[in-house]
Amino acid sequence: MIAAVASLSEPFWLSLRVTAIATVVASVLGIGFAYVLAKGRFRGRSLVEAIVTLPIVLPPTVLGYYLLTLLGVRSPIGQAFQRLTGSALVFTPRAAVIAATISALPYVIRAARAAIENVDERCEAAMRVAGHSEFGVARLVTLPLAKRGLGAGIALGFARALGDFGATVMIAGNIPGKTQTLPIAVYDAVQSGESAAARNGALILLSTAVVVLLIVTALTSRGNGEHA
Amino acid sequence: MRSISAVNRSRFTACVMATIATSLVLSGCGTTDASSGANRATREIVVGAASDLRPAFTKVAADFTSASGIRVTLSFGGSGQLKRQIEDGAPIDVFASADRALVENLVDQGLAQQSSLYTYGYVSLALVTAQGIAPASSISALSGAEYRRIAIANPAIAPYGRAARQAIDRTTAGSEIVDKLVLAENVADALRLVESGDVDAAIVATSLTKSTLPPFSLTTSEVSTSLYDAIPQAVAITAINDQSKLNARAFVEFLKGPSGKMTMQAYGFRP
Repeated sequence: MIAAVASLSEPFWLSLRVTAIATVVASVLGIGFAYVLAKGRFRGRSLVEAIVTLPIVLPPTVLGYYLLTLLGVRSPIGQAFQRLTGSALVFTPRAAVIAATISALPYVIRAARAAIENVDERCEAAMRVAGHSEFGVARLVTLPLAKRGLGAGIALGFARALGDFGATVMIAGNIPGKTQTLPIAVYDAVQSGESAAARNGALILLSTAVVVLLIVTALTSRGNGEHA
Repeated sequence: MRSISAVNRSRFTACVMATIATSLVLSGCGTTDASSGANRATREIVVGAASDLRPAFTKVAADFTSASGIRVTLSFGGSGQLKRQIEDGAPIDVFASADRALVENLVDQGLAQQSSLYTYGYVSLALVTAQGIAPASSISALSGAEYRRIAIANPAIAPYGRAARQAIDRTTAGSEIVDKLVLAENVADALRLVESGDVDAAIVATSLTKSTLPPFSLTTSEVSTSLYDAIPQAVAITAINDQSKLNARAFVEFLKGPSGKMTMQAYGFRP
């Protein structure tokens, strides 16, 4: 039991670090994309929307395959990265962050976009009349009024980033202490018959998911009450 | 209005760039790459090993670390999967494959050292029966009605699966057994299926049935070696930087040495 907990501490902290960074990146990018998709009127908007939503519907293995093709050591991006930093991009903690970020992104975008579109346009119009720039309107009115929806999106993105398995295992591998995140450690423990580690790891992931979903429900149900 | 939104867009772009840059820097720090950080690299190697090696290599690695002070990180997976990862630049310093041909292919590609190539054993199959099921003593017995589902590793990607399929095909009632096959991702996964009782029997690696880590209580019997071709299994150095190559060399030498050989033999591997 103690050995099982000890063997999980490394994947646990790695997962937490990877997920934290991925959540921050996915939140900034996601809210940016959501804002552009909600407010922007440009050609190809549906295409952009379809592309950023892809990670929800694509099998994680397909996502992993394309990421490996795009970022691997034989790809232009992978080679450029290796020239700049001296180390490969794939099969490192960075790759785990990339997989988690891309998995989380569409969840942030969808929730944030709905929240931004729900903000009363009259408030925004009033701010424009008062002389504020679009950036000012977004910062002072739109985003603060949408904060519950943004919070829900970030929470969902966090849960998705924490739980990613398929894409992570394909582009980051299963290297204990380097790229073995908690979901991969659970898989590894199941494969090796370490049932205590498998059970505890699964329990940590399950309880985190429940807590996140409770937060999301609280944010979205009270949010709707305000708008009604 | 047009100029405002242009400013807006460029701020957004700048913000996106800054975030990506920051995250790549952040995700790099506090974590170790085998290829960077000479200090860490002097005391550490990553060994990518086929899943049938889990019990044996866990012991070999622990003994090696106490003898040499070099830390070993073991990454287990299917041999084909690990080979692909090495081709894609995974920081694996030693590759221990369940099939020598995969290592030779890496040597041909210049991704593994020819001089370090060492055959540590041959594929050896064992038949495992689930708890509560009448033990099967040979593969031909698997055609019996009490064995409804039988797991083997996927022959397309796993050497143990290939050998198991060959053994089934060379058995008289082979075609009846083929209809009951469940293909597992690798040989460890096949064993897991029979341990959980999801299948009634499995053809796995002998080395996995000799594990003492989780007490192994299932009934096993050796599969006659006349039923499948001998598949040699090999290890080679795949490290890129010089320090890792030295550490990897030390590991391979340890595996070949008396202590490594004794452990490998205890798990059924013979060079």
